[in-house]
Amino acid sequence: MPLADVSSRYTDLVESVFSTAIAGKAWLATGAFALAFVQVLTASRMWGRLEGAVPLSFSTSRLIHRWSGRVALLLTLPVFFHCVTILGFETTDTRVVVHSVAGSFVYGVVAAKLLVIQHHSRSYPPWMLPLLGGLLAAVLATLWLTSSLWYFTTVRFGF
Amino acid sequence: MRNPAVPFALLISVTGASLALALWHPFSPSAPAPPAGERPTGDAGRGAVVFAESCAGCHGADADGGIGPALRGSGQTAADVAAVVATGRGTMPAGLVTGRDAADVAAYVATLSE
Repeated sequence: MPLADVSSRYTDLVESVFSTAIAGKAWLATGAFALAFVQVLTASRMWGRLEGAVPLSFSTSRLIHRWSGRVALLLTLPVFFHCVTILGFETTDTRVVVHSVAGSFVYGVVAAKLLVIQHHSRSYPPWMLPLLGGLLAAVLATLWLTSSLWYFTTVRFGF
Repeated sequence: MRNPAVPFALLISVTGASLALALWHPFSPSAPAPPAGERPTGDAGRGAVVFAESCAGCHGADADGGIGPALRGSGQTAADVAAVVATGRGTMPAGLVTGRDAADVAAYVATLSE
């Protein structure tokens, strides 16, 4: 399949649901960002914080944390595919540079966090998992602010 | 206790791989500006981004019109769009986007024109 066809097929697929490929990415990234917020809340509860604000048991928080993470990761995949393999690293302006740099980090942080979880976080220093989780939330927030928020506020708010 | 440097080494490795992939962006073949008289061959997927950034403000996010005319369903070919982008029309300045961006956005608008 010619490489250019991949881009066209991606656009056709996304536009079967959303008005444009960009709108689709903006909403998928918004979903991932919202779930990242859920991740922060449930992680805080699991680490004994926000007990008043998040009235969930440890096991419920852990269940929600795991599934919100899995779904968030899935939502980022089509965005990553379009941004990285079709658009590539761009330096058009400051927003785009910040977005490109943050986007390069996202799966690196995900991989490191999954490695720590896989080897049981207690095998690592206690600051490791909160640091990586916080870094991942910060990277996702940066990506959302420099893409979806920009799109919704300067181009169009809609599907 | 495991070596805390290992997760950070993995972080740097995967980030480097992502960066390399982004610099390569294999599914976005370069689309140089075509010689005069030839049909431009741009990447419509990338053109959608260029359109959102440079054209949607006047033509509407869905190309249904705004300050500028509607482009959706206008029947324009990519060559028509590329010519207007290059020479300008009305209040739209010439060369608002150029080179690969112009070819890509022309290809994108042509998909809306059908």
